Amino acid sequence: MPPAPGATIDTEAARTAQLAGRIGQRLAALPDAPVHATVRDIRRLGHGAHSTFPDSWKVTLAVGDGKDAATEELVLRGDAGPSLPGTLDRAEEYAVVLAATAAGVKTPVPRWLLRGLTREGASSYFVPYIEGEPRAERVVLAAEFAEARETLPVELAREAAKIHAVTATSPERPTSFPGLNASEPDCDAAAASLAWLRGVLDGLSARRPAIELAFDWLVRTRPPIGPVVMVHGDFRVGNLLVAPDVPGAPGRLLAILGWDFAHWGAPEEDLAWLCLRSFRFGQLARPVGGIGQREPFYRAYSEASGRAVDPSRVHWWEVLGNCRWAVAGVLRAERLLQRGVVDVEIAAMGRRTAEIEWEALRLIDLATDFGGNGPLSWRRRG
Amino acid sequence: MQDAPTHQQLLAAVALLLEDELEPALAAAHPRLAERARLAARICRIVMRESAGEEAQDAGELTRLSVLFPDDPAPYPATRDARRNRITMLTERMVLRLKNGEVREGERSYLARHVKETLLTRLAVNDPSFDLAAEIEATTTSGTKGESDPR
Repeated sequence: MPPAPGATIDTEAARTAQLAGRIGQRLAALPDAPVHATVRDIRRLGHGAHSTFPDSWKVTLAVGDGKDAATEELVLRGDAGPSLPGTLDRAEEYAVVLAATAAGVKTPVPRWLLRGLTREGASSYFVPYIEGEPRAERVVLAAEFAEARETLPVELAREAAKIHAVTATSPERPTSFPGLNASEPDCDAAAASLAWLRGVLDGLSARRPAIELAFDWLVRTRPPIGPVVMVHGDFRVGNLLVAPDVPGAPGRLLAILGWDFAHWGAPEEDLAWLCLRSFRFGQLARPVGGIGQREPFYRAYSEASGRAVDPSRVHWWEVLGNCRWAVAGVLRAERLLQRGVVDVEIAAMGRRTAEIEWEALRLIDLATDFGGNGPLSWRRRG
Repeated sequence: MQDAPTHQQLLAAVALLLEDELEPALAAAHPRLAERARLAARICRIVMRESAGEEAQDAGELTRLSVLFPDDPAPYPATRDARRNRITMLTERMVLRLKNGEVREGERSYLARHVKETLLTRLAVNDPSFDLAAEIEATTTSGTKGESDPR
């Protein structure tokens, strides 16, 4: 019998209260944490009860004694349940965000990596809370971001260049990425991504012929080995915090969040991901996140990174990105449905896969100029 | 056989409640619930379109798939479940051929057409407003020839 709704809420409230107590105890034992820190308020953030995303809370700390106490607002991110293959845990993510901040990327500096705070065996860390708009749909469509949208694509190009400046030889670099070994000279980001996709496709309970066709094309047209860098892995407007326009000051990028898919990869992977049709919120003629055009974005990236952008490589990664986005959605829906989770959002999402599959095949049809051979009639290479 | 109303009428009643009454009533104070009401209405519409056309869609998909397997003739399955089982089985065989590199040159374009045709029928049910145009961006992507030209 399912628990009464009241019981669920009480359990959640009790767990949150226990967590608040543990935060105070654990911080008290840390040499670099404030001495008298108590939790004044704690609220769960995020994507609802069925989330497979990291656990996260907004925590308001009271620091100091009595009248002189100051408050500090933080976000606590902890490991949640099983997620997609290749997803980082919070300890790995902490190292990524440290490397990103060392490279000057706009993202809050992480603090206090702790084990067993949020759940038994789970890693977690804190970052300063930043007030800003996290909803991509608002940033792409709402009137109060009109000026922000003018400058955001170039800001994003520069931030991407900073992220991609982190390589296997950088002094500040993450050491424990799963998968690709970036220090090997013949390390091939495209091959690694294809292997990931193959693995996920083979693990699904139903076959996806459209993705299989796209996979076949991706294998046949795989780009030559290029530079391998730290990539964000989920670089889209939905993972930003943006300040809205106010009189006299256009809105701007405040922070890049959502580092749980970071890995060693090809720089084009992030550029292409930002351009995925699913992330344009209907603004199809603005391919860069629904807010900008490709050419100025590529130009700004080239200037900031010192690396020319080859649109044919971005195109290849955009086909791969659509495949990855499609299988990620299918896998997530499959897992939730298998667990008996029935919900309108998951149900509706499951029926959107055909759109993403269509987009992958549409891009392949366009690839005549990228080494294909006309609409869906590509031939084997050589 | 049930008395009226039909499936379509039952679902239409729920969709109208969600779209015309609940979503606007919730929009200001409970935007997240309003969004969920909108999604629920969308799901009702999906089921309405799917149940109206599923027999023809399944038949089309099965007929197209059967062309790829001329050496495995089978009588047209009599029930919906049997048709779907055969679609699933033939799709698995088709994917296996593709994975194993066993698709002949002439077959590849047929297979691609079948997959696109099947996607079109899925999209017509799930999102009839989806833009099917080949070119969706203001700027064209041409004139940027890649390094892996097979010609």
